[in-house]
Amino acid sequence: MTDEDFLRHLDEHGAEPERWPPELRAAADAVLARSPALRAAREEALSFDRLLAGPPPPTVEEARVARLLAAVGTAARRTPQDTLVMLLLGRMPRRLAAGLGAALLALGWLAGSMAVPAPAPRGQEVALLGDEVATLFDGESR
Amino acid sequence: MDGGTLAAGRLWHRWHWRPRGLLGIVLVHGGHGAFLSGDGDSDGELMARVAGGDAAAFDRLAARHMRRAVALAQRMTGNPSDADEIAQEAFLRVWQHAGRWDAARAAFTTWLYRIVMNLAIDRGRRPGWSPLEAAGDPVDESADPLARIAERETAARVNQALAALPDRQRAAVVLFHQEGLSLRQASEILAMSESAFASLLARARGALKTALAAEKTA
Repeated sequence: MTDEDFLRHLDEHGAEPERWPPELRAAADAVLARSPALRAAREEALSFDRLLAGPPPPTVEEARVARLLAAVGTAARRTPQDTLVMLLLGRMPRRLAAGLGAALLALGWLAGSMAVPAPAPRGQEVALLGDEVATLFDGESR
Repeated sequence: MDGGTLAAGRLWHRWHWRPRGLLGIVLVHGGHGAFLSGDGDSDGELMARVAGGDAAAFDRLAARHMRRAVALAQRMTGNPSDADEIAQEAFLRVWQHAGRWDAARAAFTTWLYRIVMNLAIDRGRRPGWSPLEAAGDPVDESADPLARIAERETAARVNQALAALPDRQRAAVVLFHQEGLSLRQASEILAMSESAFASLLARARGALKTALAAEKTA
């Protein structure tokens, strides 16, 4: 790891190499051991990290937690859970779910169009009747 | 009788016939091939029961994680009443969508914190968001008054700079630096790769450094 690499990782992962990705830690320790300048940079980054850590976590009192639990328990008992269809669709990536929906629609349309023959236009019905009449009554006596 | 059969027997005894509950078990544990065992109250087991409509299991799960969810929401919004609403909404979503949680993809807490962060980010866009309240009461009361004032001012400046960050950058700082989560946990919560999270964090740290340095020189 070069000095530049170390400084870049310092920016990306903070000042504590033990929180860096495991594959970087040994190399980070090695460059720190040989470079006083990097140790100084790390000290500076440590004080910056302490600033970012901010105040201790906000106190959440017992009464507040109890009130929230009571409210959410009551709300849950009034709220229906996902249906089976929603569960199955919800686990799919959105595009896949949308594609599946479109495919089902197309399949339904196709099945519907095959099951029921399309009614012929009214004009065509008249023409067929006319042809039949002409065939039966063509002027010849039988 | 093996462990799986015993566990199945216990389940049958506890649930009788609840098809949606069984669906919950399949969805929750199917990815692992694991089954319920042990003391019977892991997050995974409770979630399987919640997916089956077991409100008592939901109460236990909420009791276990409510405090941390509220604290996380408060870190993000800087506002206790917003944090309360976010935590309640997050648990209600856990209840509604329990069957969608996939133990093979994320720990329950990762999923819960993702919901909390998303809700907090949505809330953060609202006008009236008051990040300075997040400064709270950070200083050691035993320190001398001047030092306390200086620390309060520094905390307020950091919070102000943090509040000015884009939502996801702020979320990265909160998760990694304030909540102390690992890179992996924080990146999973924000649904991104570790390397993408590291870049996001670097941008956030850079922006904060610039903002704080500019305030110092002003």
